[in-house]
Amino acid sequence: MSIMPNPSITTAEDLLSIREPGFRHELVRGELRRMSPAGHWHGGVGMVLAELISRHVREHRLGRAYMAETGFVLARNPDTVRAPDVAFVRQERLPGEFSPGYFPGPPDLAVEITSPNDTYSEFHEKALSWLEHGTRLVWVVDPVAKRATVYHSREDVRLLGPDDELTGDEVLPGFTVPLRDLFPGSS
Amino acid sequence: MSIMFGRTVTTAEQLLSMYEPGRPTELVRGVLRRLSPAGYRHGAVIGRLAGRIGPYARERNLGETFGAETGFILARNPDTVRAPDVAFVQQNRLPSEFSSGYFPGPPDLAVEVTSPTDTYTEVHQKALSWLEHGTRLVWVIDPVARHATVYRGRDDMTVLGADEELTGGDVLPGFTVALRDLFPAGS
Repeated sequence: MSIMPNPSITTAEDLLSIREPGFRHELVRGELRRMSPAGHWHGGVGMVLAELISRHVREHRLGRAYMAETGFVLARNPDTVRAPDVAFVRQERLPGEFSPGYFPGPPDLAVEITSPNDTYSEFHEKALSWLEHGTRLVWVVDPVAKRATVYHSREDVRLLGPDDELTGDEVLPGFTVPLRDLFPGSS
Repeated sequence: MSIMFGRTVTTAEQLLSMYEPGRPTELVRGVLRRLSPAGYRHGAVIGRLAGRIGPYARERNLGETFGAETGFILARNPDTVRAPDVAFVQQNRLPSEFSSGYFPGPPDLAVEVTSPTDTYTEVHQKALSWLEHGTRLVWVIDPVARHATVYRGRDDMTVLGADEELTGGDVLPGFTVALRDLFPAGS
């Protein structure tokens, strides 16, 4: 992940207008961050989890699940727009009409999948940033170590191993998946 | 942070005899890992924290504080020897006479100060490894993000911000230090 200073892109609206196929961008306090496409291991785990969440959400009419690259406006002036690998917003927070912009607020669940070179500082900070802006549940899934970190709040963080289950708790009621089912060849 | 080098199974005793000044090395399940010397901001945080814990524990006869590069034997056959940035062992677990070898067991408190290039996987792996081998309290301090994560167990982790205090709990009763006091000015 790298930071590319670009003084002309500072707001959510500027960010929406960037078209640079093959790259993902986020805006953190008005500063543009450009991210490389993820490796296939990362993408595969994200896909499996997105599929499970999406199906659960639709079956139980809980809200809407979002795939990677969906932007959420977490703060304004300076603007912060971040894009988790998978996200979920519960029904009552969904806007009634279509709008072309980013989602105006945090998701209720944000999932981040780590790549082998992702640094501790960056990912931990990212998870805390979701919480600070109102996300109620954050999962950071580490496909290399086959672990996940579950953040309910700064005071309630837990580490799960491959034999543990990710559970939606009050954010995604009824959702549960054994962590090992997310990783290829390990079930 | 670490590079595996091309040796096969090594023991704690072999590790002790191959000590090279300025090249801290750990042994994880019989495989050598060489750690680079840390940057000076990292070192300053360690110095400040050890400077608080050391006198506090000594004055109250609570136990011994160990500086960076002190090896702790966490497992045998294959051997695991790891070295936290600061460690503390309670009085009742100290041998009556100190030897020149590694400490035969886990510390009660292990502190890791992260460097900017440490990966998410690696830092969690190390914190978990301390807990799994019997360390009761682990502090992971991130001088860049200016927060710390307190691990008491996999199910009991808390994130502290710069305005909060690290507390010794039942490992170092009565000990507190404001996180901000560990970060040198201008860092």
